[in-house]
Amino acid sequence: MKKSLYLTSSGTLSRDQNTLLLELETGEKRYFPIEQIGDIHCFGEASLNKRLLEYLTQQGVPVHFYNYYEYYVGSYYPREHNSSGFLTLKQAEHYLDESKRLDLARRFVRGALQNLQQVLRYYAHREKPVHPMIEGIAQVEAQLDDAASVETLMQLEGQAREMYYSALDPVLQNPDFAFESRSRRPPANRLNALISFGNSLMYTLALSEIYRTHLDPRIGFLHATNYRRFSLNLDVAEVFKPVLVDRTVLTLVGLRQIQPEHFGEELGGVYLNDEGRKRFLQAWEERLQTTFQHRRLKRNVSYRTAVRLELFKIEKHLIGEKPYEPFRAYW
Amino acid sequence: MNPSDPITGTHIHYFLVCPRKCWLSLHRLEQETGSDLVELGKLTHERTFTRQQLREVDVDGFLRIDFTSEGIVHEVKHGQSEEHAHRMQLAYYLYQLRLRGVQTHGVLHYPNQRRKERVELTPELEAELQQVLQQVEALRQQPLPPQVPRPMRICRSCAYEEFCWSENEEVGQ
Repeated sequence: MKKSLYLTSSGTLSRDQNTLLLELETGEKRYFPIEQIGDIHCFGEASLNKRLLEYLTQQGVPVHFYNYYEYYVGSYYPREHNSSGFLTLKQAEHYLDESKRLDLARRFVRGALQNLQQVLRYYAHREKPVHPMIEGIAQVEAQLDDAASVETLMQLEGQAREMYYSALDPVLQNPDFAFESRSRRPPANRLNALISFGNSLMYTLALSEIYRTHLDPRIGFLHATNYRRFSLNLDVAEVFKPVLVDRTVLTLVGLRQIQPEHFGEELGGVYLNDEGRKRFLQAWEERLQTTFQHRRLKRNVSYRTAVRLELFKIEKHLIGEKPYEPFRAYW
Repeated sequence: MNPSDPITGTHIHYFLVCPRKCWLSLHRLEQETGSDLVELGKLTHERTFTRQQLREVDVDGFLRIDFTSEGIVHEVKHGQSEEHAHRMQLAYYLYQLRLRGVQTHGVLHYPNQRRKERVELTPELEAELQQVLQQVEALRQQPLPPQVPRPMRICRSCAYEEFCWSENEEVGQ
């Protein structure tokens, strides 16, 4: 299985014959076999040239860039190697047809809400006082069918998320990682910093997997297409954020693998420092490589693969073969 | 779907292995990336018969012949489990070449098994090919891909497996 390459230190990335070479500022050289790399995430300062980009295109490897504050900056998304005009038209049709778009958007939100509840149920089993929040999200879920517009769906999703976030303090019971309220750009406290960072990783994960399918990442259904930015990856991310991002964050904090010393404060915001970021990335990659038994394929698949399978289900929805049922964690 | 896209040798091959795979390929929904077997097949192509000068011969943009030598068409395959489909793929090349005034025969190569097989476009093979061509054309017109009720043995080694069986349901809950 292909892996992500996370570059946290600064250096020069280049093609050296038929392999990828990273030269660190210390002069140390590291080689990475390109066949094993699915995508690259640059956090440090990276120098690279066109020859490398050509190589990455040939190998179909996207690169995602993040700035000093761990915000997503943008991606090098190589030329499509895998496109199907037939599917692209179907995708556009599902965006342009109001009822088809609403149907798909509702499916994404339903998947998201079900997984939010599942995460809380996990903590309910551990005797955390989160039953009222589960109830609340279930009530929002019951309203999804009546939502007549994508905007309403977005609002309902926002409401459910708020209830969910109100469960974080009772779950963690850790004053060093109090949630208070959701804040981004900049995140006002440690927990928010972790969630923001995790969400960025989730968005790029979905984007990298979209690259390996026939879908066009610019045409989203829940998140409005604005013709310039990627949005389908945001839709898919909603379904997986609870299971991948939030569980990673809660586990890291719960097991005290991330501590207050792993953060720094800058420009009125709180950010992970180098050590904190490394710890998060390691936990994230472990989570993505965690496998579960897939009932249909009758073999173990990783969460990363689950994201790709999700995209195939969306493709089948678009070509009219099978209505999309979002990924649902039963554990 | 582009209705004017010509049927390729690969489509003939796929049809005889799994019509669903053929439909998906006709609609350009290929699943070529990430499958180890596909990668191995590519390596077989790249690393065998390298001294042949006429490799990857392209006829009219849709017949991609592995290599030709002394007027004979050669097709290289990685594994021999889909032998008849391979034979028909080659028969299709011979048929298309004959339409262009070239009368020849072909050879199927299984370099990994150190085996080869001569293929002639006999009247029987041609009749079968005509039937398959009609079926592929009819398949192309279908609005939806044909269903496979449950995973087959060959799905295990198919690059389309994850696409076809991505739903995680049915058994239990």
